Amino acid sequence: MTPSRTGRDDGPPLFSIITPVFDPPVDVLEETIASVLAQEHRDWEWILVDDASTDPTVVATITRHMLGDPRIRLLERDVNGHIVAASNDGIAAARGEFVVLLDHDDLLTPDALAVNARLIDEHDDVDYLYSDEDKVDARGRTYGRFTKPDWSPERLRGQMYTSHLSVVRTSLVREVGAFREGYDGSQDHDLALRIGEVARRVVHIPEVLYHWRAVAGSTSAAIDAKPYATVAGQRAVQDHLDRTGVAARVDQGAEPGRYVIQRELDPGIRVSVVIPTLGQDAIVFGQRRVMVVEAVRSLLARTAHPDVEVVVVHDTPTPAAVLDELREVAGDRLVLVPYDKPFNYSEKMNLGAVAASGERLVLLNDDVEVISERWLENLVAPLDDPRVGMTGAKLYFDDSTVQHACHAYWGSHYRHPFRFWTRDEPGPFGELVVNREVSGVTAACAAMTRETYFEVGGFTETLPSNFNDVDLCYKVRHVGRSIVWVANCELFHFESRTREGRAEAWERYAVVRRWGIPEDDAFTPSAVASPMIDPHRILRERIREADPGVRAPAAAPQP
Amino acid sequence: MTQDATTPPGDAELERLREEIAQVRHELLVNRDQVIGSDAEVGRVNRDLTRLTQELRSTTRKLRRTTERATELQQRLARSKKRHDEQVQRLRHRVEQLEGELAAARTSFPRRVVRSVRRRLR
Repeated sequence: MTPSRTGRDDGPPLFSIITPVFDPPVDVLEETIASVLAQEHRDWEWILVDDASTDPTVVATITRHMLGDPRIRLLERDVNGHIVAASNDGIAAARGEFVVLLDHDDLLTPDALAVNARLIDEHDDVDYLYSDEDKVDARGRTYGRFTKPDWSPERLRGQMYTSHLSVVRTSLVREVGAFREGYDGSQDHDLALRIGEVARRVVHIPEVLYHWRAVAGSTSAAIDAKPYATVAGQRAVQDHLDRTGVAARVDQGAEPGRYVIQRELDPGIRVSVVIPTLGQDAIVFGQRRVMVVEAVRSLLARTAHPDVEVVVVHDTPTPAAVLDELREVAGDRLVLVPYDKPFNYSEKMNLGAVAASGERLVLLNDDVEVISERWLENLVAPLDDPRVGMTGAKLYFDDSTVQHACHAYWGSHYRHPFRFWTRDEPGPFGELVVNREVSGVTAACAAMTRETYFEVGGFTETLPSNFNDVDLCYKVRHVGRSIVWVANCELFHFESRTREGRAEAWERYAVVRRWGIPEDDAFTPSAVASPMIDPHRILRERIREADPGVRAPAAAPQP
Repeated sequence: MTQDATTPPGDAELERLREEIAQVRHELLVNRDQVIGSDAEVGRVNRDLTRLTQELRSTTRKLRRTTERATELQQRLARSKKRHDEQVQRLRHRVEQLEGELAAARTSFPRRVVRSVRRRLR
């Protein structure tokens, strides 16, 4: 059987599968070949580029299959050029409309090309498609499914998450210069970043179409198997930021293959931090403190940004001494807005936003304490990208377990995934240590441009206490902007762990009436987001609530 | 509202104008929220309508298919029942026929006595 054509007029697309080959175990290669021959979609060509394998049976095996199926082509390199050179040889020889990147020991599912063809047919302008993936062990058992988010350019800066199976328009791969020398080990990350910069449409296929073989020494078995790859990855991300004009520095992340973006914020931009308060005090880390005062103190101490305005919207019963203390801490950066109506968080925040003079607004609760340096720069600077409408922070309970790492809306509810994970845990697939697009963030610490805040009408005042941030996030996405959760903007949030249960049914209904019932989350799918709740911790909280005399769990020391 | 550290004291007119601007901006926010909320609700209702219309179409198709199938099965049942009745009728008739034949073929009592006497005389 031969491929029917080189491009697509009205019919299905021709795929060029590109596989660089270098000394794979022949039985494993046979399995890979079988998985390609089993494709339901028939319009493909397969370019295997032998990168000077030392084992002669490799070429013999490919040749035998080539004789049986003319869609298989073998290119033989005289010298070993590594994966970049071999892959580029394959791309240069490709005749299909899309290239499919397949490693010499991995497996495609039988419907892999058919599913891609269907989605290409649905979207004329699609340039890049990626699917979910899992791993396959030596005994052929699959495990470790990576349920990926929809297209998330910010997350791609933090990790190579699109990975397998990647299908890219051939003309675009050539236009961006295909794989680049010098990025071995992260050459696919580098290519995905460059493709992402110019692609008209990127489509995520939420199905496993690729089984990544976990063998000793491969990246699928252990992420730190190729230390040189993370250095190349860091360079690839830095190049991408430089190309796209993002003022930021890339650091290595909490685990190999994860990258931290340290952003620069234009010093000429005024940032207004809006904080609602009643001036209450509480015992934190064994000491009594006025919450709002310490929140302001910590937020100013941990940023070098020169133009910060602090807008405190205070209920009129707030003690005068608290306001005096705020004046002392914030000086002429403080703007006080009195509020004398019954409690309505949304209205207080809206009044604060109205009084603010900054181009960027940070929405902050008074029961927080900023932990991370340059928190403001990292939180606010992503808003320089006009596609981003809102950012949010990583919040911890006082024992340093995660309180907030994004909202996820699925299964008819609004959720806080990753609750109670510890501060040093990276999350199932790096979710807790890389910036990423999300469906929503808590307004306990969030940032927006003033323009976006007014465009969406701020917080809805029909929801005075609960779900107003959920509604705000929906509104931001409704006007076509994304929401980015920022992993390296960290704060303590001394919120009651059980407060969430007090939401009323009518509040939830008000959100559902506008936005419908959430089914599955596009960015933090339920398979990843299922709350990993520690039952012992819940039990401990219930005991403490039932009998306050019981010794409270030890709080983590202050960092 | 007090512009705590920046407002010159005693400038009441400026303060009043600031408050008025703030009020208008606040009203603008509330109105904008209502516009966005209504827009979202209309979108959501339209999506619901589209989904319900599709479900209705699909259910109608399913109902039509099921009705056709039920009719077909009823017709098949009637045909089977008719065939069954005919067969029962035919078999009953045959039984009667065979019973008649059997009765006709059965040997008479005087003839069996004669045969028995003859056997003994031999």
